[in-house]
Amino acid sequence: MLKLEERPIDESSMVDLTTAQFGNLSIEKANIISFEQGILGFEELKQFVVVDVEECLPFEWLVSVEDPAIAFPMLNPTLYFSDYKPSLNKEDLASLNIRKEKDAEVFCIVTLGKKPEDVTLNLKGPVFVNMKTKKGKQLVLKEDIYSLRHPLIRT
Amino acid sequence: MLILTRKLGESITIGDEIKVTLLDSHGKQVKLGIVAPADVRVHREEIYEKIQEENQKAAAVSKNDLAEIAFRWKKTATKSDCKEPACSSNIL
Repeated sequence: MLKLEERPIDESSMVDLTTAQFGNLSIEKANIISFEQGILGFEELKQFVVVDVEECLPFEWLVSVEDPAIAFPMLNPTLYFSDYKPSLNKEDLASLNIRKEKDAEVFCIVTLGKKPEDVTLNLKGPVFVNMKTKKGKQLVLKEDIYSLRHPLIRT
Repeated sequence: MLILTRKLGESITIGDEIKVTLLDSHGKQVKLGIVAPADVRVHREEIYEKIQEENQKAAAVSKNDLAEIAFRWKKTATKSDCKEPACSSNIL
C-alpha cells in the first residue's frame, strides 16, 4: 500500500512508474511485492505494488512494476465474506514465509461484465501477500466451494 | 514430452512420492487415480486456464469503470443507513 510518510524520502529508494490509468506513480522500493511465480497468465511479471486510488476504494489495484500498463483490480474478500477461509498447504505457507493463513493479507481479483452489476470476485484463485517480507503468490485453492466468478452484487 | 503406454490398472511414478494409475477408460474418457503428498497441488488443467482467463479479463478493467462500480456501491450503502457496503440489503 502506498503511504505517505513524514520522514525525508531518499530518492534512490523510490521508483517512478508511468501509467496510462493512474498517471505517474512514485513508489517506495520497500513496498514492492515479489511474486516469484508471477500471476497466472502473466508469469513473466514478478514485481507488483498495491495502489489505492481514492475513487476506486474499497477496490485496490495490483500494478506491475515491470509493465505498469498491467494492473489487476482486487478486493479484500474477508471484509465481505466473513466465512471465506481458504486453507493453504505447507508448500504455499512456506513460499509466503508464513505459518498460518492469517499471517498474510488476502486479495481476490475482480472482473467486470457487460453490466455494472456483473462484478465478480475470483475466490478460487486468491492472491496472498506477506506484507512483512513482501512476498506474494496467486494460489489455486483445492476447495470446490469457492468460485472463480463469485458475484459481488446479488441481483 | 515423455509418452508412455499403460494398460488398465497400471501406473506410472513421478519421483518417489507421486503415482498415477489408470483406473478406467470409457471411449474418450479415462479415469486416473493420483497418489501424491498433501502439499502437492493436483488440479485439472482447465482450472489453471480459467484463472488465467479471469486474470486477462481483470487486467483489461479500466479505472473509470471500477470507480463507477465503487461509487454506486458506496451510494447504495449510504442509502441503507449503514457505513459498511456489505450491510446494504441488495449487496452480498
